[in-house]
Amino acid sequence: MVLYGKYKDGEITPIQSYIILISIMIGTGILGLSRIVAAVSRQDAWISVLVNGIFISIIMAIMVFTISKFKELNFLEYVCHLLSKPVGYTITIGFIAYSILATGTIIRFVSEMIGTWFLPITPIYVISAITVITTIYMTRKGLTVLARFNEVIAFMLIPFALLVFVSYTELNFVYIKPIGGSGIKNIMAGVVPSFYAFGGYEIMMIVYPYISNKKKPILKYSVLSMLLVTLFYGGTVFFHIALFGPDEIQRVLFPAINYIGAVDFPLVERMEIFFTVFWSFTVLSTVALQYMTANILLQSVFKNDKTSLYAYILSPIVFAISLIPKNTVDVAEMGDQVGRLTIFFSMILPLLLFFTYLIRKRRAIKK
Amino acid sequence: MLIDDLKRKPLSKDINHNITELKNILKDCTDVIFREIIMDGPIKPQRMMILYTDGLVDSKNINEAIIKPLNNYSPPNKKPRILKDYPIEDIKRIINVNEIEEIDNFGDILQQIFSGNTVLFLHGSKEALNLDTKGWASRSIQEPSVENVTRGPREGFTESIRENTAMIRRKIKDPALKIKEMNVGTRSNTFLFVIYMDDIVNQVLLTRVIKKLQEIQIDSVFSSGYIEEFLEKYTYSPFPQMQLTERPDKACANLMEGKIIILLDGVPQALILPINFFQLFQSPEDYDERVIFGNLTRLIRHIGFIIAISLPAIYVALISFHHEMVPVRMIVDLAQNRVKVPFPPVIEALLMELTIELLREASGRLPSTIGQTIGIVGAIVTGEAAIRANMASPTMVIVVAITAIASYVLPHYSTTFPIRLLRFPMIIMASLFGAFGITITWTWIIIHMCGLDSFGYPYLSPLAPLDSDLLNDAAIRRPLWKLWKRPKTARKNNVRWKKEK
Repeated sequence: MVLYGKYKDGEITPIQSYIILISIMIGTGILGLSRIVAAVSRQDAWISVLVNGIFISIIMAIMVFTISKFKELNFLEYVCHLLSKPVGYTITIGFIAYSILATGTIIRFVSEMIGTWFLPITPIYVISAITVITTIYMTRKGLTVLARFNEVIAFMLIPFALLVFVSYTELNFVYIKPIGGSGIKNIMAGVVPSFYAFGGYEIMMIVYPYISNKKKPILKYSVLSMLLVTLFYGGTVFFHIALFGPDEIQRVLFPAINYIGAVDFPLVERMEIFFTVFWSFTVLSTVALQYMTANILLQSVFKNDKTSLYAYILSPIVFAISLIPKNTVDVAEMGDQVGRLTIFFSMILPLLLFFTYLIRKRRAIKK
Repeated sequence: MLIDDLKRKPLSKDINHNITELKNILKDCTDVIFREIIMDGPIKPQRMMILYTDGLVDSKNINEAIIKPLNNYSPPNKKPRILKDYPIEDIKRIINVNEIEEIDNFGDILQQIFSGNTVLFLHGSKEALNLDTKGWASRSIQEPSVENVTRGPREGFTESIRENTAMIRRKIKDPALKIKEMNVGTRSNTFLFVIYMDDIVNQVLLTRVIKKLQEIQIDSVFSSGYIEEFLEKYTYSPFPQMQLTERPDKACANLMEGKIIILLDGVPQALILPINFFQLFQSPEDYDERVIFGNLTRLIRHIGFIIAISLPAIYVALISFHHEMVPVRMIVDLAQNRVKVPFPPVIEALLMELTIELLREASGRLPSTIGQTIGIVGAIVTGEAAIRANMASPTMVIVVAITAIASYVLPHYSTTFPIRLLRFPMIIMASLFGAFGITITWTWIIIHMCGLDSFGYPYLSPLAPLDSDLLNDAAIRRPLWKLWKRPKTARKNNVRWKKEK
């Protein structure tokens, strides 16, 4: 392993960290994004998404700035350093619980989707089980291998992204107008629901210590990758609203999928199934990354050599969580609950760390 | 007694003792010839003995260059010598052989005579002379049988290892081209050459490979597969971590990328290491044809790889789960074709794939002329009959045929095995989970490949970890005049030529 420069076991390249950021964010959120946001800010939903993206990019910058001051420490260590040991451990264990919960929820969501679109007769628990097994296989060799997988998948995201712009002939731009017509208040209110689609970028706090070459401008590029996702989401929402209109979109459960069904393709009928194939690749990587987060944090708590042990141990828990909801409504509710937790870990925690860092620094200067 | 043990046994000064000892070891080895020579010594006739293996030596050369000068030697009429016998230095002057070496133990003697050299014993000397007289019948240089190209050199490696190194040396006339000799197999004592460019190769890699080669515990080595299995890290992976080639030009191109070539005596293929996955899709032709077409053929090979693994699975998934994805006009025909087929699609697919694999195996074992006939007749007759008998639908036959063709896009035969193997789990998963099964199986395959490495170099290397080499010379290749940087396998900051700014 030593031969290929610095990429040891568990280490990742800077490029891989950007790709991890992108691929953990693009997952389940994109499917219903335009419906949820349009419910609040109507035809200006895409502006809400862009505003949210810019807001999150700022948080990202703050986050990377803070952790870049602790190049040698992992998540547990720098949180303990900044917020004292008991608080650090509490937050880390909370983060682990959150990651496990989120993994279980996403797995259940995937299973629901696959059950609806691909396998209507297959029981949900079978699909869940095969997804959990795949997740174990993806995570058991550690972060390096998973990061490489994401790089391969990143190339599959390109056709996935192109599929978004496919219905351009059917668009009706009257639906978009008047731009800004729903008022600044509504646009700002739309920022909150759009936030859930961006969840997951807090993984940067965990993977940053594993980046091998920290001399690269990581801050710049991680903010850029956030903006890339923002643009992609903004474009998606714009096109969706232009196709369905802000009223009709409320009656479409997953606009991202139905949108593609609006066009006829010469060779493949029902292009949305094709879309779902690509989507399941990206969502599998989201699941695996979320699961990996829990593994890495547990490893740092118990100071093991490898994360593979936890990949096996946690799997029954995740599987059980994925079976808790009784129906699709329950799944949506569970998703909302987990979404609330996301706000703490991806917004409050980075800001908390940042301000603690500033206060500590000022104190140090005074002394 | 093994040759390694005999290497610790020194020769004695007494020629008779040495000869009895050797005759004892070589009892019943009828191919080893002992020939006594008496030459005029300074005082009295001097007794000598030559030893060689019949069939491995050039007997004409032995007669002309060794026996004749020794027999005909007449001492110069200068002042008489005080010595009883001529010393070894004087004998060296008499013999007309290009390569002479002194050896002093039984192990080396046996090794030399078994590799075609002649050993000369002198009375009163603790050393024997090893004379290069190699010369045996071998296949002449022929066109490579598997890696054919339409353009570019047509020579392929042969069984004779010296011939092979000569072919490489002819192409790279540079003192940095090193050919390190090693010996593997405690009984077969096979020669093995580690070939590398001294100033390009990664020295850490080189020492590690050499150490691994030295640690090989095996009694006999007859083919490069033996070495491969000992060197590679992931024996149970379907993907090869080393590449075979029978083309010297390919070997040389790899040397220039800092890779190591292992040549084995008696094997007309060279091993290349380390490799990456994309290398398996490259052929020397890519560099001979115009850039555009070289890249297009590479693209076609990549597509072929994906088709060969997943096409039957896609068919099964479409027919069993997602009929709605097939255009309406087509699905009617598909359904009509399948009406009389009694099996579910997965059984149909597995049966047909199995038949194709059987045909392939059978035609490979038969002599080439019959093999081709069996292949064509078998494929056409079985396909046609299977449709007539309603064992398979015509669409299935087309799918299987396309898959079979696509699985041969890889430029080297033995690397097509992973494709042939992976197709079957893919079909089964597609029959269980439809399109999601295909996604899952591809995820497994990709994750598995991400975890592989070839001697420390990630298997999917320029793609994951991502690096500019991907667009230089992996997935696509740029014009040669832009490839001034060597790939990452070479030593750091090593360039092919200095780029002028």
